[in-house]
Amino acid sequence: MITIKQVSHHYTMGKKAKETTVPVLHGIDLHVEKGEIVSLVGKSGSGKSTLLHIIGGFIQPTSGQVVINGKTITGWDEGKLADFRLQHIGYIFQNFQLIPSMTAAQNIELPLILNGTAKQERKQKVAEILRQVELEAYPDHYPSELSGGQQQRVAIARALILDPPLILADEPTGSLDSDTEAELLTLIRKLNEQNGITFFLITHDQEVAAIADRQLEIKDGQMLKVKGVMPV
Amino acid sequence: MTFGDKWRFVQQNMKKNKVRVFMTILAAAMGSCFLIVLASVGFGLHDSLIKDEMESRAVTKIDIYGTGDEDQLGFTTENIAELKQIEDVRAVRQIQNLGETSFHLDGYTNDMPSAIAVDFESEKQAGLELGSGRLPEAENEIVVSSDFGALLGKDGLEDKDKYADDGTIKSEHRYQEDLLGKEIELEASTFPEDGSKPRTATEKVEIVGIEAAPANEYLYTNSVKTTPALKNKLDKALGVTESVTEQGDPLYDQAEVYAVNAEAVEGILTTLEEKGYLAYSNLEELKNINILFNVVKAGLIIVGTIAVLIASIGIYNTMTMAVTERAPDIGIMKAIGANPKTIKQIFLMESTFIGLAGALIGTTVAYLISFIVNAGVPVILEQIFNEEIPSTLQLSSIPFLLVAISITICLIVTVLSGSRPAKQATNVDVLRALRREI
Repeated sequence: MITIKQVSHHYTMGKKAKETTVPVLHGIDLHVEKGEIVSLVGKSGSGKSTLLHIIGGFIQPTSGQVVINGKTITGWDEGKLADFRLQHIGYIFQNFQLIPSMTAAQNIELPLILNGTAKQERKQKVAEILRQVELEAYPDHYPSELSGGQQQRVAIARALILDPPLILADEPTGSLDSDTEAELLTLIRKLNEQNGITFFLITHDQEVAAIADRQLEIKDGQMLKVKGVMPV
Repeated sequence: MTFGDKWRFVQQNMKKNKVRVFMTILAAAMGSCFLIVLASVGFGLHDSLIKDEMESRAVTKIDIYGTGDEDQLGFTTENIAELKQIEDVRAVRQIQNLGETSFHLDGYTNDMPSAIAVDFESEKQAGLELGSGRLPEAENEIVVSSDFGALLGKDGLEDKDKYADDGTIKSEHRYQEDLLGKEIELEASTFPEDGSKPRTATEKVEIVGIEAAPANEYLYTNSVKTTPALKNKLDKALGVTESVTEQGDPLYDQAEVYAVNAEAVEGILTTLEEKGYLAYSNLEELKNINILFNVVKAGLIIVGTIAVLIASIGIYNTMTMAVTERAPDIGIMKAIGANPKTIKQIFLMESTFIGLAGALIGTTVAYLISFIVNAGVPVILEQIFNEEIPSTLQLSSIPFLLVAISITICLIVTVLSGSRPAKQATNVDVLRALRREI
C-alpha cells in the first residue's frame, strides 16, 4: 500500500541569501502492506509528521520516491495530488479539522460533493456512515456542539465516506481523554478488520501505538527499531 | 464537483458576510449605473440628432450641384437621362426655378415662395405626398406646400402689424379659407442684367393640390410646384431665354437624385463622381455625425468604466478578505482532496456573481434615471428658459448595446479583480492553514 524508497527531506529557513537548511529525514525506507495497521512513534521534532505529510502528498520530499497504492506520487502537481488524495487517502487530524460553519452531516458529505456524487446517493451514504460511527443522533449538530470524541468520529466518518484503501492519522487521540481514546482505538481496529482498511498512524503515545500490527520508531529523521514483522 | 454544489458553496460563503457582500454589490451597481447613465446622454443626443436629420431631410437624396462642364449652367435633358440610367437610382428630380414670384388671392399675398417647375411623374417617384387634392394635369395648375396658406398675409399692413416676433404672419392676418380649388394670381418678375426696366407677367393658376405636412413640425416650407409648360409661358411673357439651351431644349436649374435605399447612396455618389458630376448627400453629413458621436460615446463609456474600476477595488478587497477569513476552511478542503481549480472556480463564481448582480441592479436603476431625466429635464428646461423643447429631443437613451457593453465591462472588471484573490485561495498552504498560521 505504501512504499517509501530512500526519502530524505530538509527545510529551507531564513531570508534570501541567508538561507539555512534544516535536515529532517535521512534516507527513509518503509513498506506498509494492504490491510495493515502501522504506527510510527517518535519524539517531537523527530520527523514523524514530515514523513506523514510526504505520504499524504502535502510536501514533496527533497529526494527519494513515494509509492501509494501502486502510484508514484513524487513530482506530481498539486491538482493531481488533490485528486489522488480524494480517491485513495482518508485523513484524520489531531485537531479534527472540521469546518465549523458546517454541520456534522455536511462535513462528512464534503468529500462526496468534491467527488461529484449525486445528492440522493450522498444523503444515503452519510446516513449510513453516521450509523457506523454511532452519530446518527447528531447529523445537524455543528462541531462546536459536539464533544471531542464525537468530533473525531465525524472526522473519521469524513475520512471513510469515499471508501479509501488507506487512512493516515496524525495523532488521532491527541485531543481526547483516555475513555474516548479507547473507544476510538476500538473503532479503528474494527474498521481495519471489517473493511480491510490500511491505517498508518503517527503518535507519541505508546498505548495508541500498541494497537498497530507493527510499530516503527523514528529518531532524528532515521528509523530506529521495529516491533512486529518488517516486510522490507 | 458539480456547478450546483459550487453555487451552494458560494451562497454559504456570502451568507456569512451578508453586509460586506451587499455593500460590494452596491458599489458595483453604482459604478455600472454611472457608466450607463453617462453614456446614455451620448446615445440620447445622437438618436435625437439622427431622428431630426431623418425627419427633416431625405437620407436617400443626392443633390447635384454641377456638371463637369464649367461653361454649362444647369442641366440638360441629356444630363437628366444620364442620371436616370445610373444603377439604384429611384428617381431624378428636374427643377426649373420660376424666379421671383408672388401669389395674390382675395387681398392676401404670399411674397416669397420658392416657385419651381417640375416633372410631376418624377416628383411622385421621389416621394411627393399630397395632403389633399391631386397633381396638376393642365398647364395653369399648381401644388402648394402645407404652410403656403399660413404665409398668405393680408395686403396693406405694416410689417410690424403683420408679422409676429418669430417672423410668421399673425394668425388674424392669415388667409383663413381652404385653398384647394382656389384660383390665385401668380406674378413673376425678372430683373434683366443689362439694367433695363424690370418686367412682370401675371397668370391665373388653380391650386389643385396641397402637399402633406413635413414630419418635422418645426420645418416651415413655403413652396409652389407647377408644370414646365407654365414656366415656358412665363419665360416667353418675360422675355427670359436662360431656361433653354441654344438648341431650344430645356435647361434645368437643379437636379436631385434619389437612391432606392440609404445603402445605395455611396455607390451612386461614386458613379456620379466618375461621370464628372458634383454631388452631395445628407448621408455624408450623417456619417460625420455618427463618427463624432461614436467618439463621444466611446469617451463617455471610458469615463464610466473608471467608476466600475473603482467599484472593482471594493470587490478585490471583499474577495481578499474572504480568502483570508476562509483560509482554514480552504486548507481543510484541500487536505481532503479539493482540487485547486475547484477552489479557484468557487471564488471566481462569487466575484462574478457580485459583478453580475451589481451590473443588473445598476442597469435597472439606470433605466429608471433615464426615464426620469427624459420626462423631467425638458419640463425643468422649459420652466427655466421659457422655451418649448423639441419633442424629438431625447436626453438619455439606453439601447441594448449599451446594456451589453456595461454588463461585459462590469463582468470583465469583476472577474479580473476576483482572479487574484481566487489565485491566492489556490495557493493557500494546506499545512499552514491547518495550523491556523494564515
